[in-house]
Amino acid sequence: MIWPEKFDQNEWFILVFLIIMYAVVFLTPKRFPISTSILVMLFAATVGRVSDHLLSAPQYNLYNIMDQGKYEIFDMLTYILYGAFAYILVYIYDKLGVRHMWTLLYIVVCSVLSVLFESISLTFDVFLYNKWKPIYSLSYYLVMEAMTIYFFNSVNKLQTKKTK
Amino acid sequence: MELVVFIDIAIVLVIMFFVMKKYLNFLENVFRILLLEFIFTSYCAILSINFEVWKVDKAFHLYYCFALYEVMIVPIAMLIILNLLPFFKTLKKVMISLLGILVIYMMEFLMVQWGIITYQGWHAWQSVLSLLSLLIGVHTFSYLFSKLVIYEVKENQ
Repeated sequence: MIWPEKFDQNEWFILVFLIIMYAVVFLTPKRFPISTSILVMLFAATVGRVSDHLLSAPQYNLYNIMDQGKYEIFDMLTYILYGAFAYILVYIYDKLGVRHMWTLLYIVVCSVLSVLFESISLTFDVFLYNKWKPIYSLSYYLVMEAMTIYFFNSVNKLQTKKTK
Repeated sequence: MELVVFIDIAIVLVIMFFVMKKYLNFLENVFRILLLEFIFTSYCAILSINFEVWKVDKAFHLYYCFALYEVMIVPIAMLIILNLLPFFKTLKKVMISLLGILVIYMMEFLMVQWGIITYQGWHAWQSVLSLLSLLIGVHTFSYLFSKLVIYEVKENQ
């Protein structure tokens, strides 16, 4: 992996949010087993990694992450940040006891917030759009956040079965 | 022709994974496939984009073959090997691992032969060594994950 050529605003943006988000992850009271948390974080990081890899591949080059079109160490930290976002997404979902049609509203609200966060990260040059548009991100987040919640529910069900 | 062959290989592997007798439970398999996907796509990106030791053909159908190889074929094939290992004893485990790595390498060899990827200062032994390291690394991490799951189940009972 490559170290960034210039340590500027996008690297600082990722570092600051990484510290903030993981502080939230570690400081909030434990709600589910560590294995569930690991799986949810790994799921988000992997889905983010694979989709970014396919969408930002040189053949399509819809967008780039960070300064270069290469796989930088900060690209990896971005995926680790996705993991913390997914954890917080399912944490609040579980804490609020969101069920049935409220889940749809929850996913829509979180997706809109994710697009807003992505827009802020755009101003810090974390993402460099080529043929990508922010409106596409909304569709992406709607699918990804629904998948994350479905994944969390499935893992949680299995964990509950195991401990019984 | 190349794309059809790669799609068929991916389908066969998926079917094989679902019908085979699995030693590992669902959570362990999910953990392993996610880890394999993350590490292997990163590995391919480092080789093809950062170091440019693999040149991937720009033709769409050939690029899809490569995408299938890195996103489906290798992770699922590795998962199958990891599910087979616990059924065998030490020496056979090594044999199965080596045989599995060889089969996966054959896919890469096929990609090189068909011009999907071109080695630029890269050698076959480096690929075999990387695949073996990936198998050992994922096996070690998932062993630790299994221990954690067992500990949590015991703690809650």
